Amino acid sequence: MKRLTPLVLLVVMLGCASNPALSPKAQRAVQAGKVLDVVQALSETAINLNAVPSGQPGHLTNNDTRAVRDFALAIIPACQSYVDTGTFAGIQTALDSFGKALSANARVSVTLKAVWTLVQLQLAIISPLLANPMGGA
Amino acid sequence: MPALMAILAIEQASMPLILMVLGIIKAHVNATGKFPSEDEIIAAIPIKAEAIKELWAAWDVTHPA
Repeated sequence: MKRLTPLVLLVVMLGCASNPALSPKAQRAVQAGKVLDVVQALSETAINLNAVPSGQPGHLTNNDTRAVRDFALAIIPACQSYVDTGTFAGIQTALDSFGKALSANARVSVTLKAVWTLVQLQLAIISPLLANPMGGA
Repeated sequence: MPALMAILAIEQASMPLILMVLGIIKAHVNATGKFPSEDEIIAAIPIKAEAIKELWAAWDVTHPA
């Protein structure tokens, strides 16, 4: 890998200069990869908040943590479908279900909303029309 | 090589994504001695999903429904 590093850096620089066209599927794969990155961050955040003792500020209930889990696990095949076909109906379905499952308390969690904003930013690249279940984060 | 350029040169490519693609390329080169095609890189990106699944599988063990 060490031998590859200078070559890769050169290729990146050349690539940035020439701005090569990316196939639509490759673009979608890159977008989906970024969505999964932030969904992983959301998952880790939810698990950490769930570990905060009940009754203390920031605690996320088991039900709300399960809502995040269900969203995270639903977004994976939805992203794969988006990469393969270009349709984001599955992503919208996952967002809708998440919006219904999340409690009012979780919606106002500052930490969860902050990470959710990152998710929303990546989803907005796929389509600005995708609904925001956290409500204007 | 054009595939590598295409993936890495995208203006908004984040460092974790670049590292992920480099990891995919390294594994492919080690296994086959050749650079992966664009399709082979795309097929490997969902590996990220496995990390999320493992994360929640571990949580499920400690929080059975």
